[in-house]
Amino acid sequence: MATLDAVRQLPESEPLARACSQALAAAAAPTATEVVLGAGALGDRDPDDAAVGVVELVAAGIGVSKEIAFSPPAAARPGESRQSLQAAAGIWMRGEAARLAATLGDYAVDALAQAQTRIATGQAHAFEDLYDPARPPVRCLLVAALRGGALFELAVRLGAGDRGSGFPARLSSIATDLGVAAEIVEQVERIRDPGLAAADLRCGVYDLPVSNALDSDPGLAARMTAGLDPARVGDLVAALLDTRGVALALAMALHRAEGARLELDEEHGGDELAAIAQRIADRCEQAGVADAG
Amino acid sequence: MPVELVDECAAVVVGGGPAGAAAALELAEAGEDVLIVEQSAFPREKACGDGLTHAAVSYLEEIGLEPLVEGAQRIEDCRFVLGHGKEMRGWYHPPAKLPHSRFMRTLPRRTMDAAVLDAAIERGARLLEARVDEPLVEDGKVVGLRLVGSPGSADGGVVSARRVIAADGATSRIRRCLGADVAAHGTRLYALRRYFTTEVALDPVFDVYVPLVYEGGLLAGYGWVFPVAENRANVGVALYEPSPGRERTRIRELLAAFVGDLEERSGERFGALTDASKPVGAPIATRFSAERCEVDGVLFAGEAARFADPLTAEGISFALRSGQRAGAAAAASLCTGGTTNLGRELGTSSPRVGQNLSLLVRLAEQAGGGLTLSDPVHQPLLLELRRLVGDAPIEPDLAETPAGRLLAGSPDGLAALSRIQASVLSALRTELPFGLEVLNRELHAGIGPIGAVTAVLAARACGGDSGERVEALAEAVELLVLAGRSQLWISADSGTDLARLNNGLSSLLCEHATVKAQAAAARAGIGIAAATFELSEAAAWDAENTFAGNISLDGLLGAYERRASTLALACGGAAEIAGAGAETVGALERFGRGIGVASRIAEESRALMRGDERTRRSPAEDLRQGRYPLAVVEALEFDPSLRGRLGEPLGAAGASELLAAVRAAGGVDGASARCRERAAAAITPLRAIPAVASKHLEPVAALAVRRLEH
Repeated sequence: MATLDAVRQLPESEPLARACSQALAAAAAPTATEVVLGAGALGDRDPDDAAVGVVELVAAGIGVSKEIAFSPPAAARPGESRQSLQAAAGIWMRGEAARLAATLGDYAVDALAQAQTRIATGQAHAFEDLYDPARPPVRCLLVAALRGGALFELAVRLGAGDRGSGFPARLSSIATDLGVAAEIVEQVERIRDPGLAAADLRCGVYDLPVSNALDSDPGLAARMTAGLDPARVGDLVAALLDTRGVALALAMALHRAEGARLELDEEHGGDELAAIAQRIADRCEQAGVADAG
Repeated sequence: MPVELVDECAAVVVGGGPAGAAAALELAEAGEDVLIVEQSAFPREKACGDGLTHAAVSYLEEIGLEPLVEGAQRIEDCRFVLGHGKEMRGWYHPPAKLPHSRFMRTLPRRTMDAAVLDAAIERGARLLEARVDEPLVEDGKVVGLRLVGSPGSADGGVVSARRVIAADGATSRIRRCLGADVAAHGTRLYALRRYFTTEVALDPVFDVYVPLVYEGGLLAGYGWVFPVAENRANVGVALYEPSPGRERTRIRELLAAFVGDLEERSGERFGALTDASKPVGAPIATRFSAERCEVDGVLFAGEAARFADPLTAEGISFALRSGQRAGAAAAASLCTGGTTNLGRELGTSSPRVGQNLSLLVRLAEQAGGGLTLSDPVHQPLLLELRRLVGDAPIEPDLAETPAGRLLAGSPDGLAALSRIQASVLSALRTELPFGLEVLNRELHAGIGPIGAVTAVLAARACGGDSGERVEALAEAVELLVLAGRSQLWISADSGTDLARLNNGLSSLLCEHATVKAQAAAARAGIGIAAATFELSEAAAWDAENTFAGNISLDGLLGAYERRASTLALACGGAAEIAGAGAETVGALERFGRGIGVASRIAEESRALMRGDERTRRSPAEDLRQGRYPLAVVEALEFDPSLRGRLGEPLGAAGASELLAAVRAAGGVDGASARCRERAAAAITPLRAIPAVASKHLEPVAALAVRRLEH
């Protein structure tokens, strides 16, 4: 995005710039970016490129944290420093997000600070819950609200621009619901990818579909605590997919996406965001919510 | 039917154990009319290891119980017996400043609790033996207690009080009645102990068996053998409450198995264990929460406040100190009519808690030779360890660090430092359930909070004071420093679960610290983006140059300059807040950067040569980890052949040899000279600026050089 490159800086250090670029490329930002752009209509304006830049940097920061804290162990040769560089990139991107937010005004600085605090809290909760098969599904929803929900809320706030008297709680709630729905759909897509699912289970990441499945079948929880032999992970994933865990997760996502769409239909300038909500709902449908029974 | 008023007093304390008695003692000494309501007749038995740490010993001596302490069993060391049989001694390091006894002690709770209660009564506290039915609440505030079955008083009689302290233990009835007992937050251990007579005379050491081996698995808990007399031992087990869904271990069977194992494996040490007392058990509440320390006007102390060490379950010193503080807070509020801030005070005042994590993790590493989270045998232990890290209160006494001492003699400055410290801790404590151990270590480690102290002094040098904006700036600087350090803790090799755990924690701490630094900077009205960028550039350089055989002097000094952006920010920001002109702000920034570089050279040289006792880093450890400080790079200037020894992992012997070669080549002297040169170059220009009272900043410059000399 040429205009975005015009406002966004990258570090002078070549390795750090490379780490930042990789993180930005890997971030699941397209939807969040669309939300920024879509939210412009709420404020009858075209969102600033800086607003898009902030959201992309925050999304990339989430990706970096996930990569370090929620990826399988990996041996490295002396001198390799991938995770250290990623962490340095995380500092840099948070600094750059703050710099760009400052160009937008105090409202953006406040919104960014609140979002980053929630996201960091969500990451900490998720880390605390690693390898915990007793983690209740509601805890997964809390993490999704703190992480994906906060990212989307930030996107809407920055896209809609300074509202003077404060951002409406109703819009915050809609944006959070959208973010939660988007994060759940991604989780469903991960559990259905054999490679990603195996990696997540082996390093103790039990997202909502898994949490639902464990909640519905305590026998499966016992298998999770018994250690995961690489040769048996595939069987376990299959057993998890045999439960209603995925369908239930998709139903939770659909409920939020459709609720957000209905609310946005009533909102002045909410058409574009409603269309995004509809697309997320469609992804839920396509992912098999019809089978939820 | 009218309710009989049994007693009316300024303060009532529920529970006459150590926390309650300490609270009552404090209130009585303050001249308040205080009533202790205790349901048991003292002396009474109590499930406990009977171990008195230094903090507990000090308290008992402070209240005049020296003879009791002197007569108690002396403890001179700790011995850890690891799960796989390996033993470790020599972990005990008495604090450098001991007001009284050098030794820890053991003293049966039956004796100790009665003595503390008597001490409170001697000072004027009154005792009522009665059971509490419920707190009396008026307009959302507890104003007294309803009693049940109290001998000598009518059933249902009430005690009226202006202040209520609940010290009624891990299962606090007051807490439950007020609906403040949130089970999910009430991490507990269960402890069970018996006294035994030993055939063999006991060593004066705390014997700790960790982790517990039971039925082929490792349990999250520990066993102990604490001598209470030459041939009498308190033997027990403490077991963490399992996470939801995990099977509960029967603790009586566990204790029996532990005792059997002791006789079998440690027969030479103890001989036969005979004359067993009845087993006595109790839950121990450990999940302290500052927010739940005061509910509806009731102050909670001891285990009623869940104020016990979350990792070791040590509770006596926590009970005594929290009771003392609750009593003092209540006395102050009775005197002034104001509110208390007990939660925050306790949250930042408990000694040593956080430091135990590193100990247990090291023990776990050695016990298992590489514990892995996915191993079903190891998993419960590691999960519980991680779960228990949360909410650990800590007490970094920053005034005692080298940087903190720069403010000695300045009550305003020390008060500001205390507030800054509280903000930093609360920023990370409230939302980050991990990392407090490292935070504690880092706030203490090395030079101490030099960024915060420098900001306060720079503001003074420019004619300002340490107002809210300067304190917010100082907070931002310290958090940014912490972000940079936590980034350095990320290990290049994340090939094990423990390394991964470490990297995850470090990364999250880095993220939280950065985010909170930005929030604090916003309060200060100072932009920190530039400093953040420089910090990340420095971190990237460090990452890229780990095990770098081609490391260059210019590159390393450049990284030092960038990392010193935090001190530049401290000085320049403080000058800006104080209203200094652009030229002065620039001069202060250059000073901060120069001092930052000098300090870093000094700290790295010091760590290279001497290691770090607090973090148990050995000398030359940087060399083993592929980090080459200035002394090494200076040595390369004199002896380029040394370069061939860089770039590869080294064992302890190899690192020592390389360090010796670096010294011989003049690397250490070269780094020292450069440190002095930078410190001098930083302070000299300031002396020529009339608008800057450089005397305030001279000690900062001197400190870097002094660190080098020490």
